[in-house]
Amino acid sequence: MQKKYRYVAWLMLIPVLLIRGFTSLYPVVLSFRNSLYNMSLLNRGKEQFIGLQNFVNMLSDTSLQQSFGFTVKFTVVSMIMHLILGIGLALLMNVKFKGRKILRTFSLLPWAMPTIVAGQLARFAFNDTYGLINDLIRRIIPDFSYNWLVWSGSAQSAVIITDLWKDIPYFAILVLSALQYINNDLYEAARIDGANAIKSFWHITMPGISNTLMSLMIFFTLWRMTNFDIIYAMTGGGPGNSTSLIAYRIYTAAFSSLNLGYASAIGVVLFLAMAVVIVGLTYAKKRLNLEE
Amino acid sequence: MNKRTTHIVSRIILWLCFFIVMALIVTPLYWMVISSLKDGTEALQSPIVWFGFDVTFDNYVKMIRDMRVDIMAWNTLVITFFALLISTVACTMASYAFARFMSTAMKIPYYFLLLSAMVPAIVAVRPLYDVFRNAKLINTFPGLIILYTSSLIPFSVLVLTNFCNAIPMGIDEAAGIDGASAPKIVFRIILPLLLPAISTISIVNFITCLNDFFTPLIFSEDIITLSLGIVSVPNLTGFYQPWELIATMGCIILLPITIFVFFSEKYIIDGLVTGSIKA
Repeated sequence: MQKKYRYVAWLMLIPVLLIRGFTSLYPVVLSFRNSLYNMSLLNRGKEQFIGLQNFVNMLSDTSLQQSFGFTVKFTVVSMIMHLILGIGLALLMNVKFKGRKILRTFSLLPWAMPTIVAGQLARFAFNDTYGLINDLIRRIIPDFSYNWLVWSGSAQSAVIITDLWKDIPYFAILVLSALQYINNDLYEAARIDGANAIKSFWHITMPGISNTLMSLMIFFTLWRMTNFDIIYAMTGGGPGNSTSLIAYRIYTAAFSSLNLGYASAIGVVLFLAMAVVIVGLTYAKKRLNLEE
Repeated sequence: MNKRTTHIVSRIILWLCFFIVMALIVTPLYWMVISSLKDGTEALQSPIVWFGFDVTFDNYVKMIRDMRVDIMAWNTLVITFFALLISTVACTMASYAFARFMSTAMKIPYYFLLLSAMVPAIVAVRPLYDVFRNAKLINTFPGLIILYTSSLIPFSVLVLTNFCNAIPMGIDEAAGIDGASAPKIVFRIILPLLLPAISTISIVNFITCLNDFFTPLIFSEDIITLSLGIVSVPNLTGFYQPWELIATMGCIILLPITIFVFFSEKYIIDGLVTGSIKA
């Protein structure tokens, strides 16, 4: 049966391969090609091979470098907070108490809602006069007034906070499932040996979830690097360029300023950066596994 | 400190953490809900009136009458329905093939599918847009359905292949001896066994479809989905940003999602966990 149906098996792959090939492989290959061409609006129809010129131009594009800078900052800060707060929340959800199930269900809400809705909500929440954040602050400091999204530093923080609100509960739920695989006897044994909570966290909990954490880190880091919706909804890249994540920058280059070759070149750099992150984190994951 | 006080203190800290987390999640959502139930001037009032305001459903009426939220919901449902249907059929077939006929050669398409999930939409979007425009697929249901289906494939193949691997080989061998053809084995025997897995991924995929904003933003102008609807609210009022209407749109989108989450929490968590951790 195996041999006879081998060709049928390949036939059954055709639909998914066609769809994915057509919508992901083909356009990415085209993007790599386009990155070597001058395809701006001005010379439409007579695109011209310019080698690596688009990449050279990126070196002198300070506002693009600002975008790369914020993308790195956004990704790194957000991931560190994901680890700290996400593990904390997961530990909380792992304690047997009455609130546990409610907590888990409510934690799914921010994940399940569209980023665009969370972003719009955040945009108004950070409003100076009627926003939720300042309203709560004014209950403690009566005359407080601050326009979060108008200043670059606070706008960047607002974007990161919104991202954390939306995604940490999701991260925590995934960490929780790893926590549940840890054998409780280990904690019991450690307690009898006189280990305190902090000690058993570092010697039992962390090794127990480190493998899952590394996998999650890969996914969550890549999602941070390509986040678009949150910027579209909250700031439109502003004030100035301060919150324009790289994905948003590619979008404006490809659909507003219509410099397709350049947009593709930025895309290629983002793609390579993601590949580096994947390889790096996968390597770290392997090393971590070997040590144990 | 004796044991009993330690216990009480730890319980107090536990519940304190619980209430802080709940407040952080619920407060913004509650603010959105009450804003949608207030009229324009009241929604922009500071300090915010949290309880005991005049409840009005005018915003909701306005959203249905002027924004045609009903049409948006219909568009979203049509796209989602077909994307779920096509992706489930195509992915079940592919996963069966991967699970039963895996070979060195077949590892190539398998890893291609999984790795293709890493391709950011933003890198692929512009060339894809041009291809779709030439094929006259921009702003059409078939075009959007292809794109939504495509975005569901990697996750679905991963989860379904895992589940197919767990189904004993003997089952299809016995059917093969009885003369059942390969498609028959997949659809009559394997598919029913996969139903729990299919319902799990369908729930997660359903939410993925509802939440997709980028695809309709680029590939559709007139077929407005719910996610796209929230950013087109300002079109209604000209230039200013009507918070109460945007909040209303947010609530309209959130309502089905909330119901969904509350009733299928277990399936969602199962789906998310198999999709990400076993990867």
